[in-house]
Amino acid sequence: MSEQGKKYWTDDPELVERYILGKLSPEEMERLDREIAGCEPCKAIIAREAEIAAGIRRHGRDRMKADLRKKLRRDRASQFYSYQYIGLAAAVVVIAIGIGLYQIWFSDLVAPKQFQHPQIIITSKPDTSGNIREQQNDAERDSKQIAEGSAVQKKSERREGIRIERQSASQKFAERTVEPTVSGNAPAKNDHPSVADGGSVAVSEALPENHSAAVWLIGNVVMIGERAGSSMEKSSRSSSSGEMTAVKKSSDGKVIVRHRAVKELPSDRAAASRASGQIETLLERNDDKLVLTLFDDSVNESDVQQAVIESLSDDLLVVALPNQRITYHLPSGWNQSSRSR
Amino acid sequence: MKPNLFFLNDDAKILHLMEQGDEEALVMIYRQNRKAILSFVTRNSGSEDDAEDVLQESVIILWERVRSGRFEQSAKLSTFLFAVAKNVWSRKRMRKLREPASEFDNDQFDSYERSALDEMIDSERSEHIANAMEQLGEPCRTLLTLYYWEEHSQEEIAAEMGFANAATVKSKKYTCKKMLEKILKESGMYVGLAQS
Repeated sequence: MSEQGKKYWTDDPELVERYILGKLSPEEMERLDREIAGCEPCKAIIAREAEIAAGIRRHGRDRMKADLRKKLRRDRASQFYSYQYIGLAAAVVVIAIGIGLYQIWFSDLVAPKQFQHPQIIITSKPDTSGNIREQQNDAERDSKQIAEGSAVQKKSERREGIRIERQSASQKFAERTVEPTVSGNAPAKNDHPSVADGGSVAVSEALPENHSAAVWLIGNVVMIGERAGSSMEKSSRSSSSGEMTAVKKSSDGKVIVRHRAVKELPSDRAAASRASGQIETLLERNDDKLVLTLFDDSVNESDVQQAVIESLSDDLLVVALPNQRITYHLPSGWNQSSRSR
Repeated sequence: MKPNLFFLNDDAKILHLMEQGDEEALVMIYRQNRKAILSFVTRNSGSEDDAEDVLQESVIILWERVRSGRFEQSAKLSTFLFAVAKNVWSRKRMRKLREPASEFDNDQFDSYERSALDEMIDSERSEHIANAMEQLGEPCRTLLTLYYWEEHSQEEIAAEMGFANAATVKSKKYTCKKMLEKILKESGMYVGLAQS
């Protein structure tokens, strides 16, 4: 730009741009400012260039701001989704833990719980030989047979007195666990007398909802004094009675003491030789009660009626009869389960 | 293959990303400073939307400075950003209330100085020119933006945009400016501009 023929630096567009963008040194800027101080057209050129530069910058900022907003929206959305995924993963973990805990408490996976619910009951055919009869109630039997899924089979079984014998993994587990605890006295699968081997006592497994169980124990007898009437007398009386049904309940109704003659023992139990002072005893648990059946001819009905449960702890049961005290070591967990229920 | 770089702190990483033109740096610094600036603006009569706007503008001003090579780090990035945000909010509030811009507390954050161009950016005229830029096609829009906004040299622009050399960029820039002026004239916006 010239004013009265004079040349000014604003005629150089490159220099104007550098001036506008502040790309000159302060000294140079000051010098250029001085030169155009009296040149109004030069100032107009500078102003126009500055407006264009400012407008372009604003355009740059606006575009970048729009881009940034898009990025932030995307970022927030992805954060939201990542929170959702985290929440979903947490829910899956919680559900998995819940299922795990449920299985620990209610399924076959944990030994102690299963041990407290060994699924064994003692049943028998209708009595034709004077053997043990432990009749399940009809409701239980019906439900078991319904579970087997055949009404026809149910009728047939009733008529023939045949029990469905099943053994679940839980029972096997229970038996495996019980056996070492009671020194081989537990009614392991092969120890159970069955219809097939001539005995009337069959050990069969109840359905899981039936909380019954049985285990053979050896009671150690300590004589605490003679009383009127010898043991021989009692023995003969007992033996001749065929079936003893005397029952004694403990004061809290938790333990029921029964008595049977030795001849009613299952063949394999009867065959086992016991030292004197030992009594073959079947301990059953039926829901919250312990049923103790003594197979001994020296005990009579009157003794059973006077029986006292002297001690019942987690691992010890002591039954006091009028002239003797019988001590049992309970398998671990047997008494606990009845208490927990 | 990009080399794996390790940074001593987030500021170094953000500055590196900005120098590389990676806009992820904007998101990072936005997130880091959102709480402080949101709190400042809302405590000074602003809404949450105002705060978001101030923060976005401040982040972009930092970007401009870094990209143009005019940023000298003498404090933490958050310190600089807070100073910028205070300034930006002061001007916005002034426009809202139609009152003179008042400086907030004179503390260490008031080190941000605005250039003459910065002062003009908020004007109505610059808004018209920004709108005209939208009508300008490529590569003019990018070329002018790189030169005037990001303040890249003509050599850099030649390399970035694939022009033969700086002289080609200079010639193209001249053509693009003329096209922009034409758009402004046609839309009647050029009337207000000073005529040479």
